[in-house]
Amino acid sequence: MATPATITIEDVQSSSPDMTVKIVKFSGQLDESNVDEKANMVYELIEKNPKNLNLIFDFAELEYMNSKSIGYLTDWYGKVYENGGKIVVAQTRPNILDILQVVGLTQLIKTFPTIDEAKFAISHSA
Amino acid sequence: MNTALLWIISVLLALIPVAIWLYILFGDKKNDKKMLSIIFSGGILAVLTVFAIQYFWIYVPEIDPFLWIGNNITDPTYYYVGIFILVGIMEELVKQMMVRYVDTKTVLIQTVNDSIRFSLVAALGFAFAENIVYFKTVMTVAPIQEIIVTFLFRSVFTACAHMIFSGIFGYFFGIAKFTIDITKNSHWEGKIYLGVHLISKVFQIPYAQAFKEYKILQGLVIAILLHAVFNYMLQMNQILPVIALVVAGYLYLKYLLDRKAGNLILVTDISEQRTSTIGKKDSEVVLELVGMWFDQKKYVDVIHVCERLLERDPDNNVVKLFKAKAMDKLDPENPYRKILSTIFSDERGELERNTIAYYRKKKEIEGKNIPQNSKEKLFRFVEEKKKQENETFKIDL
Repeated sequence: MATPATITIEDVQSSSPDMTVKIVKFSGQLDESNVDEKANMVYELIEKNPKNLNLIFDFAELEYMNSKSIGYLTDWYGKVYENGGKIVVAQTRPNILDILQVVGLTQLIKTFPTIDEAKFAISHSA
Repeated sequence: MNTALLWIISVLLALIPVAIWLYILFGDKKNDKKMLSIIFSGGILAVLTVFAIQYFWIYVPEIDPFLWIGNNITDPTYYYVGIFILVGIMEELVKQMMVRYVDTKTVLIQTVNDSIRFSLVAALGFAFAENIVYFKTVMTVAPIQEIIVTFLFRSVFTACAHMIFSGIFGYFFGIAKFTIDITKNSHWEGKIYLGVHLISKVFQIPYAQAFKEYKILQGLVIAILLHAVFNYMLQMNQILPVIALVVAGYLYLKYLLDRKAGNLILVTDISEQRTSTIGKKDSEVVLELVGMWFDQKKYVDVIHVCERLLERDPDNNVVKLFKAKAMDKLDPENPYRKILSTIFSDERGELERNTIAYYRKKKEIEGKNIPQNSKEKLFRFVEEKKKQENETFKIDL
């Protein structure tokens, strides 16, 4: 049985008409049982918005990420960045932030303590 | 010629290749000469042990396996194969026993390559003692040309062959000694050893213990077979294949000794171990990722992640192994490897090379005088901890 995990996507008003901003809210635990299915949701989102997609990943309720989900995060970052977009992460729990730091992802993906700070960073980087 | 003089000349002749080989193997490195002498003497003792066993069989012929083979195998090919396998078993076991004995007393082997190097020295001691007997015998009966040929051949090829067989066994013994770290590393790499898994299930023993037994057996079988093939080809006067075998073995050993992973110090003094600042579960997630990237040949990424993980967990041998293996896999001409090679040197400081010496030195500096037998207590403590870990650590495949 798959471990409970959800991904919800929320639109954010953008300051620039060329820019799409969305908050992707993760909750639960991303592990082997559910990570592929959940990752597809993010891939679909990226495919539907091929240019200038800016994603704020809200990790406030994400309790656990396995190695595969970190691999997906790297891949999403690559795809979005190639097309002029950006991914930032907000409200990460200390254990997950620890993993992201050791893996080196925080050097690529900026992390913010709050959603507002993440939104501010996205809107001012355009 | 006087018998005593013959023995003296034989010893002197046998010393020449020893000096040359020791210089080739250890000439440019800092080494504990006392320890090398002990292992070398162990190699000599190994020959005496083999002679003693053979002497014992003269008086108890019922248990003499050579006699049994002679009486029961009439086909000359099978006869020689049987005899040479038996010789291989005896000689390889006694040589390795000497290294193992010294290791249990002194924490001699701290890296996989230590196990190879000390096995080479034991083999050199063995070849030295054997050569004395051969040289003396040849000088008694043969003309000068034959003496020269015997001297050159045994000095170069026989000594080298003994070192190759023992060195390969030493490599597998080293892997077996550091079973816990190496099986954990293999687990994260996603490697499955079906033979080990089978041994573990059949004998109802932990996976790590099965891996250890498997590696020792694998090393012994390879060493015995190579030894038997070498002796058989010599018996059949197949000199070119003998030379090819020795050259191939030498290149293989050189490859093993050049690997970064082989030079990693894997003996851990638990009393000196630094605390990890990353959670166990988080560390496992990262290791799983490192294993995935290693499998995908993302070696530079693996090195980067390992470096960051080692900042948080400095004494994690599994991470060190991943880093060293990734560096081994990188193209030698890769500039990143060249830069890292200068930082991640093979050479270790004298203190670092011997954890027990390091421990003593540190305590002495702190003003605590440790009696000599504390070394042994500390060693037992380290081994006990490893044994406990060995018993509890099991990989689900």
